[in-house]
Amino acid sequence: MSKLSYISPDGLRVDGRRSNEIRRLNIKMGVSNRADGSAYYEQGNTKILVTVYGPRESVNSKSLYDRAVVKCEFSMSSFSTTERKQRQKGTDRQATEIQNLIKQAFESTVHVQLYPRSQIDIFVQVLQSDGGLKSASINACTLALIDAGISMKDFVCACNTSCIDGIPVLDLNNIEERSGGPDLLLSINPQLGGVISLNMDSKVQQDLFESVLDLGVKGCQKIFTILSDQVKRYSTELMSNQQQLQQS
Amino acid sequence: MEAFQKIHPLEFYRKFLQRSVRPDGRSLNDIRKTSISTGAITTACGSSFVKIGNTSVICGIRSEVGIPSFENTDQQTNIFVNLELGPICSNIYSSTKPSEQAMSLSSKLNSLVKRLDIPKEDFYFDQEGKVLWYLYVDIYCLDYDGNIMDASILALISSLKNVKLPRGIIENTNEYYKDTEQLRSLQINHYLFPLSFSIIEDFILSDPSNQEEQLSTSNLTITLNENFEICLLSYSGIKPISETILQESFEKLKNRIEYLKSLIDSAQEH
Repeated sequence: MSKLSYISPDGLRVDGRRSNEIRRLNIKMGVSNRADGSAYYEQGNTKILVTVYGPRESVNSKSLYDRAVVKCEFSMSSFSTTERKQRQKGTDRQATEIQNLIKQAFESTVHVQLYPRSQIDIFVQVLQSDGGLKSASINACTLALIDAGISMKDFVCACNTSCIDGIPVLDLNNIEERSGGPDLLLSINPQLGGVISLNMDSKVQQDLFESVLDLGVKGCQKIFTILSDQVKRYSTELMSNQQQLQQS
Repeated sequence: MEAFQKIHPLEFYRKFLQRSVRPDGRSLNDIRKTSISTGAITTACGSSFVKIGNTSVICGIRSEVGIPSFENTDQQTNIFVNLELGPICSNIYSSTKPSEQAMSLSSKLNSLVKRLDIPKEDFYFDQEGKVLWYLYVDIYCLDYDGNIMDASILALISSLKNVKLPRGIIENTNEYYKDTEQLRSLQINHYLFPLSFSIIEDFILSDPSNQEEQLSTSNLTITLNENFEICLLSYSGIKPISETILQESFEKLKNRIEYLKSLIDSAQEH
């Protein structure tokens, strides 16, 4: 595999992007009628549907008297990857990892103390997977929670970065994820400026790490501008619909 | 009005039905807006997305290569259908235990696949059929608002028509290669045209919504192929059904067949 060049001499990657570019985002909010909030999120060829139920009464008595509990369930459609996965509910390590990641990210960002004795359920369904699942799921969850009208301190924007052949690259796709470079997942609160989570599982020199982290922050900010644009457009649309209803 | 609907849903419906109209504005025979699209999922070898009103399902097919076991080959099937009603589509389903409804629907869909008469040769990986393709059809409900049966049958047939299999090459008896330059489709000889009904008291409602299904005393699903042969007829309820109702239901479905056929065909063209 080492002979495969991930970055061409012109500085272009396998899918034609430059090293600091993210894939095209396609976002739709309010796609599900049953759920309290929902979002469809497309980042390149990664396609995710998220629905949010809640805040609602806790089903099992694990509720906390002073705040809400965030629960997350992550599932991959069996046709989402190129190899069909055997069904193994509850034992999937990757799913558990992402569930915990999302749970932690949003328990710190949602105003949980506003919803005592209740729970907020987040269901993530991956329809097609082409790398960057964790970051895409987090971004999609942010949108679905906003659609559900749940009060939050800020957005949570996530992005994965890596470095291939010494060049830091942003938003990896499936092929690039297999390159064996360090995979850094960064999620931040773009407006408050806090880091929600930072995961990296490889050894990297410190100065290189800093440039990768820098790029990650830039990527998150870029995603934030796109998401907030979309949220504003969606809410103005809702507002104008409401005004039309009132007039008629 | 909303309070009335919540407290006395049946009485609320009765008031509407007596005037031959439903709360969402449809007449008893009207069917919600139906749309089908195919090929959205590129990781699957065939896929489709079906929307009936607010009910939406997505269906993807994965192909695997396998060596058949030579016991009772006539009974063997190469297509396995699975329907999933997860918590994502409605708050009535939990993720911990698989829903009974999903399991019974899956078994109905599995028996329907056999009615399609796909020739055995179409599953041959190589020329001789020593190695076969196995197709796994997974249907996920994304939004549940009644009539999941029609939606999943339409999703099944349109995604099967969307399947593209690469040409298989076998070298040294156990090395399998796929030539993705040469793709072929399956030869599917029949269509499947479903229509479901819910019976609330004496009224027969085509294409029931979620609330109508919950209020109904019995449910009827008919599936015909293009020659008006019955592929699936399932009735469940607490009251026996009269023959005239059954006849009427068949007529309603027959009137809809042309429309469904054009819908399935036009979804393949893109």
